[in-house]
Amino acid sequence: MIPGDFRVPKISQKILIISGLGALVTSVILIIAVLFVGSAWWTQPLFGFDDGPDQPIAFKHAPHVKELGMKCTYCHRFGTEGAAAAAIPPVEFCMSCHRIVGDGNEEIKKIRDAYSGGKPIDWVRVHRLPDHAKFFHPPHIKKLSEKNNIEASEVCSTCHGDVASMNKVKQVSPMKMGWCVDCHRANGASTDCTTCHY
Amino acid sequence: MDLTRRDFIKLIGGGATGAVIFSACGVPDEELYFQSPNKLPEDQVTGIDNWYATLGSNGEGLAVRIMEGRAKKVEGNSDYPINTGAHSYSNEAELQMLYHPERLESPLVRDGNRGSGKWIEIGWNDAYQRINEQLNTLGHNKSRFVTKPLGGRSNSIISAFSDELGSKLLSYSPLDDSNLINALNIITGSDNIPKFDIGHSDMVLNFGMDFLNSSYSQAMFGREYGKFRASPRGNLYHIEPRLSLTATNSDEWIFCEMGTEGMIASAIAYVLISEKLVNSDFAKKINSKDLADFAPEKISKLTGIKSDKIVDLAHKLAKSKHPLIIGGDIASANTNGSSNMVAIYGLNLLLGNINKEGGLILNPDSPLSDLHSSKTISSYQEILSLIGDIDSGTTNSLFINQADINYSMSGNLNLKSSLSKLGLIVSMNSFVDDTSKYADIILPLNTQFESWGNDVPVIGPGYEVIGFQQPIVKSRFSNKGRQSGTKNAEEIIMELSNVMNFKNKYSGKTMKDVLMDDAKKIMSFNRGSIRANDLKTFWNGLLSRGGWWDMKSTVSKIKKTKLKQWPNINNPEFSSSNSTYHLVPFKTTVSDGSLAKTPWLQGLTDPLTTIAWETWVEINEQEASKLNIKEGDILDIDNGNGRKIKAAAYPNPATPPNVLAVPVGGGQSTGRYTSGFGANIYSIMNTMYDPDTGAHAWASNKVNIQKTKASIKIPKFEGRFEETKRDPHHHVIKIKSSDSDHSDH
Repeated sequence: MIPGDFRVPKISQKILIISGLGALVTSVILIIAVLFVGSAWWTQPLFGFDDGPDQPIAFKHAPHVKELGMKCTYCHRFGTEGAAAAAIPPVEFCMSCHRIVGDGNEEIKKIRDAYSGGKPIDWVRVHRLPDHAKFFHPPHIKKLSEKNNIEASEVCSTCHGDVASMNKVKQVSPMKMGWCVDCHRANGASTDCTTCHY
Repeated sequence: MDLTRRDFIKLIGGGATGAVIFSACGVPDEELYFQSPNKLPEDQVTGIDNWYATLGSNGEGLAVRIMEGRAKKVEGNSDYPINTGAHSYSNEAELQMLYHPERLESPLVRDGNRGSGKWIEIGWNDAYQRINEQLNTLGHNKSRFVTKPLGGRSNSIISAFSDELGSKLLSYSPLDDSNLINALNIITGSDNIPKFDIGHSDMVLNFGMDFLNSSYSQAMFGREYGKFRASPRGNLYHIEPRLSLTATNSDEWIFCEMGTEGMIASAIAYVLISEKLVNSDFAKKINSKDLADFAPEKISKLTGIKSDKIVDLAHKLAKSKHPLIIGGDIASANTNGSSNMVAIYGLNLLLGNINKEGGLILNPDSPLSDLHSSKTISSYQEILSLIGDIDSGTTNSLFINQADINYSMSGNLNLKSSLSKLGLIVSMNSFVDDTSKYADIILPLNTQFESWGNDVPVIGPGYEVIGFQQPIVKSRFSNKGRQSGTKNAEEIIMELSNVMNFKNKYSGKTMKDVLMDDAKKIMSFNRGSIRANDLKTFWNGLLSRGGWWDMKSTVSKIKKTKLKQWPNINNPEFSSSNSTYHLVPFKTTVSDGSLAKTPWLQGLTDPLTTIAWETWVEINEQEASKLNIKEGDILDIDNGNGRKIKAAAYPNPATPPNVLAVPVGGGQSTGRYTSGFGANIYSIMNTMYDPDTGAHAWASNKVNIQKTKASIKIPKFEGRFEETKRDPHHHVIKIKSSDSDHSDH
């Protein structure tokens, strides 16, 4: 090329269209990614999490809570009173009813098989906090139950939503630090860092 | 491209850093799962328990363990004066009443013919409106209210409602003991049943009262019996035509012919007076000549007791420092029951042991003048006249509160037909029972542990007691909304009164308000077990201790007895002179049948026969052998009046030859734990009553039996398992005290 003899190479229209489309798609993907990551970071993911994850046993809360009127703390007693997590009941606890109730139901058969085989059930975790945030159920339940004059089992929906109506349990609250702090402020609880981070 | 050593190191470093960074972004696998272990952890604490004080349906104070809103275990309230920490098995079964699968969950209206069992759930307001409209059409003054015996504020609220309707409240109890209550009233001059101070007595002569199997507080009687048998040991003599649980625990069970208890008591009185063994004021008024007809040798044949035995009993009573004569149950349940009871308790007057240690300790009146115990029971005659009124149309609507009259009244009355004539039947119950199944509207009730209430004990401890009952758990069906679910009977009556525009006679809008008003009055006494400056503190004390009592409020002044002379003892009359056997109904673990709904009590074995879930006929072993009747053979028991029931034979050497003893409570027609179990002995009872008091003569039945071809294996524990082999060489381990060991060496 001779110096000074500078000419813009002629780009074909086809390449221009392809490049334009590519840029558009990339931008959309980027925007979506930014929105998803941003929403997930600050609150709840905007999309894709309408239903909770599939579980090894298609357990439904509705027949237990709505039809039988069982309280949350009846099954989730293991933890609501004395441990950090309101844990899922041991298989043997399910069997206290399902030894008798539920003949012919495939999902209950899975529980019975697990019990008789001595196997635990690995449920897919729905609610999870980072390791540096320490959460303990009992003081939260006590505080809200006393403040609102409601039973312990009626406090659960404050954070976990209407689990009784969920087909698959999903997370309905952001469970992010801002959300925690807002609630602590609203209920006059301590907002010291060491309350949760210790 | 050439890769220099420097570039290589850079790439390695970058790669390692990237690996570290990106691995930190991931979540460890174990955190993505939440494992439910297979077995319940043994050291798992499943909640924090609380104990709440309340009252049992038999008037005992209870402490109930609650975990996460569910009642788990019943214990006796150690503070409560009646049962002092012990409790009866009937209260244990309240848990099964609370969590019973057949409990009614909302008001029901009949949807089909009466007794068809078809119901539609309706709301509370709808139920009240329907009742109001129907009563306006039928006329309030033609309505009657029948209830189970009620005590405390419950009684006054429902009585007030019944008064407003225009008629006296009827309290119904099968196997009623109104003759006993009436006699005690005559003897002591007091309306309150005295405390039977068995614990401090050195000799108790008991005419038929099965107090160890009592429908009052068994725990209270058990405590008394324990004290009585402790050192110095008292002696119990028991006179009854049947070997009851109390008879088996006596030092001597003395058989007597049915209905002759009053004569035996009079014969003892004759010996005491004629031999001048007593010198009480009352004894001085009685001339032995007036009792000459009851000389032991004259009544010996009629009563079945040798004259020597009667004389011996009289001498033993005279020698005792603290003799006590009691009677009840079968001895009060003949056509001469009231005079029997007066004669029996009259012996206490002769011996001068009224309000003395080991005697009949008088109970003071209730500190709240309008608050009473549940002792007032309408006479059987009154209930019969109600049935007459229904048949004649004088009564055309009926409220029934937990009184299963259709089950527990004689089949010869054909009550079903009478009920069918009524324009409206409103039943208040937690379950559909044999009476409420014919109701037009059923109003579902809270059970004992879900209800507010208070109570004055029927048999007090000798001082003032007012027990308080609180809902220790939330009403089980509270999640069904305001228009559905169950309610307290009193609350229903108060709400219905509003709908019917009755004058509000209640001291509050809710039962709790009414009880708090009572608490306020008690607080103003400023004495007794709880004292406080403000109502809130007093109320908390009242509920946490299960009531209020004042141990200093004993009776110091004895009222004058109403008994002027020794009572006339009539001969007992029996239903059918052609029949061979006396039919002796008795209560066992399911009481009068009202507790049969709970499988725990159905399955609880009878203490003597070890039989459960069945109605059996105790028949003399030799008599059975003569008739070729073996255990489990099904017998037809015929009342000679067109009614028969079938029950399994239980030959027993201790049953007198002319007696058939059959437990009540079986053979109900509704309920998964009651229907199809046993036979209904009430259905073959006669309708005779004591002419003096109108009390049902429920022991005056005579029946015949016929062996059928059927036979069953009686469900019992006794004899089911082979006895452990005894040591043939009598290797008994002898335990010596250390002192005696030393002396041996």
